[in-house]
Amino acid sequence: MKQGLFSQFTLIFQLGVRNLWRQRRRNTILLVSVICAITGVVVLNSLIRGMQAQMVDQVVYNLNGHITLHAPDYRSDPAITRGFIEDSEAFTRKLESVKLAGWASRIKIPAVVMSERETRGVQIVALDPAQEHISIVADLPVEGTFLASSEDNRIVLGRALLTQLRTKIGHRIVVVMQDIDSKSIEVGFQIAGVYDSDSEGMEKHVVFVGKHTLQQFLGSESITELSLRFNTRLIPPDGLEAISKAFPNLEVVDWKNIDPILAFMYESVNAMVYIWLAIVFTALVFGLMNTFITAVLERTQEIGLCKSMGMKSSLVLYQVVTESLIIMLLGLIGGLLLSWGVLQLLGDGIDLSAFAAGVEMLNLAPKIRPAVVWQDINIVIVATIFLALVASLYPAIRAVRLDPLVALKD
Amino acid sequence: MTIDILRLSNVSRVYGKDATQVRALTDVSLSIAEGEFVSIVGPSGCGKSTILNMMGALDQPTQGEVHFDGDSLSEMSRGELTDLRLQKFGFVFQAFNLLPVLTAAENVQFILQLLGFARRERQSRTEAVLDALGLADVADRPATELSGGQQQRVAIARALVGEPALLFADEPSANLDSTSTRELCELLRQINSDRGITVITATHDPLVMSYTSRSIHLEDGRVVEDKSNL
Amino acid sequence: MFTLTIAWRNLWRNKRRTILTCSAIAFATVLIQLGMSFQAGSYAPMIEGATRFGSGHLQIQHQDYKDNPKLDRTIPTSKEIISKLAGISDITAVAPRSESFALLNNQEKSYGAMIIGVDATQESEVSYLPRNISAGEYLPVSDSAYAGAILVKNLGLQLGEEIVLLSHDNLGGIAATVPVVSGIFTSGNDQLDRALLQIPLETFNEVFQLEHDVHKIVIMVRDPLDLDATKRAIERVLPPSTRVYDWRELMPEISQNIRLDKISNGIIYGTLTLIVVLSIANTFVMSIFERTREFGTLRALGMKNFALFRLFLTESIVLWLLGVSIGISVSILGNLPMAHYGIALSSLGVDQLAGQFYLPDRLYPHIDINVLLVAPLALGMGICITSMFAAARMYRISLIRALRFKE
Repeated sequence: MKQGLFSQFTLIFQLGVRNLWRQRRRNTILLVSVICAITGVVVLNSLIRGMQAQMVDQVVYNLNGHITLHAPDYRSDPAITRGFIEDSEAFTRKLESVKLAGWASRIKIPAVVMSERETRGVQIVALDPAQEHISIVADLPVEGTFLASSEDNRIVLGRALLTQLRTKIGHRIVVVMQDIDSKSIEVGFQIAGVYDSDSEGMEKHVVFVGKHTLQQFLGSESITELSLRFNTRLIPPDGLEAISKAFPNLEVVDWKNIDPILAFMYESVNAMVYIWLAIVFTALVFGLMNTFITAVLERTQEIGLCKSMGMKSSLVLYQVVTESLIIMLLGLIGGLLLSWGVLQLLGDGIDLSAFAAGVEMLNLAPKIRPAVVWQDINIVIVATIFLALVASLYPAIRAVRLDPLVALKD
Repeated sequence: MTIDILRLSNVSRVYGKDATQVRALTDVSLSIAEGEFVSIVGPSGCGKSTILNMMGALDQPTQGEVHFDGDSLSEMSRGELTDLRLQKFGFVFQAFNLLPVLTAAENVQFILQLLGFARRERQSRTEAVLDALGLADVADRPATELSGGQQQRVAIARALVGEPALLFADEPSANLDSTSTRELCELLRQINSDRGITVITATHDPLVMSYTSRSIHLEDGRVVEDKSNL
Repeated sequence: MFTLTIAWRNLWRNKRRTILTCSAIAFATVLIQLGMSFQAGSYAPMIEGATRFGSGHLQIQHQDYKDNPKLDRTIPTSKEIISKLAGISDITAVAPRSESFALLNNQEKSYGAMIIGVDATQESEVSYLPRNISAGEYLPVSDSAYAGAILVKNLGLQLGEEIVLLSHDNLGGIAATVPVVSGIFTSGNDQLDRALLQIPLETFNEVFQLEHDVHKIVIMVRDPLDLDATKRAIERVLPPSTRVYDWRELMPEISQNIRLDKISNGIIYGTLTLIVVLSIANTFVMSIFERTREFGTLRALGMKNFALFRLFLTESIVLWLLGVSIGISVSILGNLPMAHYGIALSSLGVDQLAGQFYLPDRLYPHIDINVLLVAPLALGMGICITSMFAAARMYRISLIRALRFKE
């Protein structure tokens, strides 16, 4: 009987291919529309996914890390008084079992910088350059020099801030901030270098000093944050919990909570991918059904002949469904190949630098690099097969219901 | 002693409902024995096709019973009827017999594929039957490129390949010239005598009738004459 | 008229196909129109919000101020220019502003903020900030200050308390003043609420030694999307070494986001249209194929090719009209309740995002002629082109073959 099923399958497959070929003009158009639909879905979704991944990278990379640890009240009042003691040995011991790319301890406090002519509000980021291979700091293009060590007593500014302050590398600027006793202190720093960034906001607002140097001025051994980066793009499933357990006294903030707007955009991408798929495939279903209904109607006699000769109803049903499946699977293969080609062309990314300011407002990278998410492709495959079944079911049932007697009359 | 392969008892068939009712068959009873070559004749509209459809399990009587090999067709399910047609019956229709997308040989193989034969078996059987019917030359031509006579021969080949007990031919000569009709009838007679297959044909063509061993005359849905031609 | 009747009957010969094809056209029309009406409904409030909380529609500045805002790059606010501006018909409001960065202190706490000197009456006409007052009064006296809620909280201030303002003045000296926080605003945009403080313009100019000059003259017009003529009119009356900018230049992020949104949605709409047009092309091919014999007969009877073509094109156009009118009706009906009640962004959980884009809490989809026509016309063009291709095939079938064609 196995043999029987196989020979029946080859029969309906053979008939399916021949019937599709008989109406090749029509079916080519159908195939092209399926290819367009699948390419549209895959390419656009890859771009959206690329944006999503870059959004994460950007926020993680931008001096946040996957997880940031603070003293509990730091976020409502970012000051050195809300810091915690840096204990490198304890940190290393606690983080040993976690798969990290690295960690960095920093002080981030608000301050005001004054040049001879201008005054600006900034965020001071005091760091140890040796720890910063996990953040954007390691990759910032710098004119002049970057801080050499945690003990370096100079300052590094963004290009935009330097322009605003109307000062130069090598000049001194005064930084006003609050020390451990909440007293305003004024400290002079020599400008070691200027960095360039994709983000004008960062250039204007973030300045770097040595962590140890700043601790001396503030009169404290504290840091305000411990930033962790995992060696994966996202936080591994149990990562957050492990960190919370290791540091029970600190507030654990993951990247999604650093910026709720970003988290919302990140989550909405997941929905967007499926909505887009649903819209495109719905648009496709009308044309598919139209074609398969016609295919059944114009073959009324043939189907009647097959039935009168003893073709089972189930086989008649499978025959229509098989034709639909052949078209859709060919479209799937064609669509995936075309998508691959298009993504290859877009490989370098889509340059959005013409929209730099808007893109920065949206937390996007200035260049969108498509990213293929295999789970999305799998869903496209499943949806394609599902659509093939849905679109052919009604025509197939009509074929089954055809009365061979009526069909044979001409 | 001959066995009744097909028996119709008091069969009536009414189409439509109420006012628009058409009586196609009225109270027909007859038996056909294994090995007979029967023609059902009469003017068009007399119920020839209707009775053939009843016999071929394509249609069910409104009243009465059809028995094949002693089994009542009305007691069989749709699926069983389908299997019966596939395994025991062969059909040749007046026109539109072949699937246009297949070649002659593939049209013949089609039945064997439905029956679930292995590839090699299918090929050897198809070859044998096409050879026997003198169709070896056109085996690989698409069905649409064959002449009317060739198409009917392929249809007969297809009807035969499954080795049926009964062969139904509904106006097989309708679209043929007299030479082709004669060849077709010779072929049917040969099948009947050499292979022992019961052949039932509906026709209004006296030429076809003259080849058969028994002819049943219908008029207005009733049997008016049933005679042996031997 | 006769052609129309035949076309109409022909369409209903295959009811199921016509219904499916119309549904496809209607589906695409509805989706594109709903999408576009939402976009259109969000752009205007976004522009409105951004200009009302930020730059205004147009600004006159010193020609070098935008790229490098130095305190001394001012423009004179002489009566002459104000009266000249008043003479331009499309201008609805004008307000002067001076601004500088300063350090704000309260006891031991200090934060940097943007200090803007404004004329309370005129500022109320151009900006929404005075309306977003959450406590106190808007700049009642010369030594009052109007501060963002987050800034006030960060500094640990209360309404009615003094705040120390320190900066450089125009002459290189120390600029210092101690105004009283008499009003607090909550705009919903964190950046404004965290780092913005307004004081009366006269006080500002006194503290920063600017005399009667200002940095900006903010101008509002009737329609922010139609201000080129106004801009040119202003250019004709500009004092020397000043320039007029529109909001697109002042807040490129807003106009860029609108353009980016339009482009990316355009790609989506285009793909959708393409898919629907292709499936319509398919039905045309089927329809022509099925009627090969019929068209053959008509040609044999002496019907001209062109007349046949016209018949087929009429069928396509009727099909299109039917589809788009269903689509337009559905999208208008679907839009009406939303256009009336609006859609609360907070109920979608996007209020914070909305705040960043200066959007109000309720958005109202906006239907205009553009929204109504783009999708139908794009689909119509696609349908016309494909029906022509399909009909061209009709000519190529020989008469003999057509007549012998078996249906």
